Amino acid sequence: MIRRKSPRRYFRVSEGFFGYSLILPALIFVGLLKIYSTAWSLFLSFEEVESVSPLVTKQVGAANWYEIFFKDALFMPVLKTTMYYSTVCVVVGLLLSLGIALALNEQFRGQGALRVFLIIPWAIPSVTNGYVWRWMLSAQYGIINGVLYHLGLIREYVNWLGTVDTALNSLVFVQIWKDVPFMTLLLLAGLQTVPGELQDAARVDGANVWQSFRNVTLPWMKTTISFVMIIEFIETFKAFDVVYVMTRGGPFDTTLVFYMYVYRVSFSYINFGYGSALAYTLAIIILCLSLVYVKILRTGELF
Amino acid sequence: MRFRARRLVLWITIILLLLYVGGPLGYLVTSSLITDKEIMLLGDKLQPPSGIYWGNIQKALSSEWFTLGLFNSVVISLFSAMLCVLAGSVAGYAFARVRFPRKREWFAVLLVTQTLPGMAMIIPIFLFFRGLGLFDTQLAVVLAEVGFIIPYAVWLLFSFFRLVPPDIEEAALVDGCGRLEAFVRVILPVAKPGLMAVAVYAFMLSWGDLLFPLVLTTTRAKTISVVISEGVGQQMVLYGYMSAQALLSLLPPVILAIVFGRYLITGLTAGAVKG
Repeated sequence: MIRRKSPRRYFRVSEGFFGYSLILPALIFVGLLKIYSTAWSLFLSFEEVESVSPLVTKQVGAANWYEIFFKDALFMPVLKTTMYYSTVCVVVGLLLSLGIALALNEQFRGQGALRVFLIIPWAIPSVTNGYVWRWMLSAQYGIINGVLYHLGLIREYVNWLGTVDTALNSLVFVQIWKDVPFMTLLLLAGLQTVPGELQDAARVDGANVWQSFRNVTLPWMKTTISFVMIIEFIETFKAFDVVYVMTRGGPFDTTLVFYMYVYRVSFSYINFGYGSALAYTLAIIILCLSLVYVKILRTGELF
Repeated sequence: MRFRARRLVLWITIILLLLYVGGPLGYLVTSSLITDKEIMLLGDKLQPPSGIYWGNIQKALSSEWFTLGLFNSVVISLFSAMLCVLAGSVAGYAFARVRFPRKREWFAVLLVTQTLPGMAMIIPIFLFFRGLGLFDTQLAVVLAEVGFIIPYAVWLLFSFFRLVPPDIEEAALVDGCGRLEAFVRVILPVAKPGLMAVAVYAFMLSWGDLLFPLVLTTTRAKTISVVISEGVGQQMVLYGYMSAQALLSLLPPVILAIVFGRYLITGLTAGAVKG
């Protein structure tokens, strides 16, 4: 008896092969650059680099990990600075962008143009952004000091980036400046999905502006708002470019955020072993944050 | 009454936003187009400048390091955008339309790697490319950027391909097209906005990135971001010259954002709003 291959089965096999050959290029890139190097990082975190060129390493067991949690006097302050940086960016950024998005959520001429205008700060390379603000905040001829002085708001020029009290908040300010317009766009996209009938119904029932926001808009926007918050938290937790250009972690390490610290240990002190352990700690924190993000996205429902 | 109050709030917000974005940019443009002396007078005495001075821009464009950085950034960003679109579109299509075993798992792997921070892999990436003899080459930066952006490109194109009605593809298959042919001839043209969004997005990310080129290059393959970050440390007092460099470095991504703004917004906000 001749067993004929069922056409359906034949189709499926070739379909599977087709699928895999299509995702292969992407997988090679990701596998080689992300998975392979992240795994290598884990090995490096148990080693000490004795020579970089050529690379000579020595096994040191968990010494690097022990150092992070029990010996490194900078680790906790760095973590605290980073937490502060991210938290302020998320809270202030969200309040500002939500307010702007609510005000802009109307039909008006030039709506599309304004939206395109709002992605400009996001499009500016963060290095350039850092330079622009470093220049504006400059203690000598920066325009911010000039304007504040002539308005009578400050008595003498402030060295915004060189003073312990103001440096970190100045960086937070610059980060928020860049992020708020983009957060506004995301929230605006969410606001536009709120059904008009719901708001009309609330108004007919005698709800005032605040009540209709609190009881209709806010619950509807829950997913979008959580998404914006978690994205902003993760992104600012990885803040590097702006800090690198504006302060490099100074003055007196008051703006030393996590990324900057890992960079300094790895490439200024050329301490690849300890740098890898620190980077891994950072990756684990980010991964935990991302799990929240994945939960919000509920990827399981996509297929 | 209520309507007019809302309108008032709307217009005040719009004006404040124009100042918010336009203020710093306007200051940057101004300080690249006036002399250092006028810059100081403007900052110190708020004295308005008298005329346009092109010297800063000319000086920036005749600096060998700056133009090399500009050239490297253009090459790196273009190639990384191209590779992201090529590898991202076929993978995004496979995840959206092709049935193959363990699809969900592979997709999850891609999404998880999207969250891995660049700093966690930068040391091995440096050692890896140095080992291959690719240290300080444009190729190393391109490959690193693509590896970093590709999960996002796949995700974005996946969501675009899912929106393409299956009927068009089936019609093409009935007409005797192969799968690959149907993809290239029928699906890709329909998903053009998505391809554009990914290309522009990848270009902008590669253009603006600092960490990879900072670690992977020293002289020949330095990008514009690296050049500017070095200038900030060494030549900060040359206000006009530095501002001109900064202005030139933000023009390409900002022009792209303005020209392709609509595609970008659709693509980037897609994730925030659950359909």
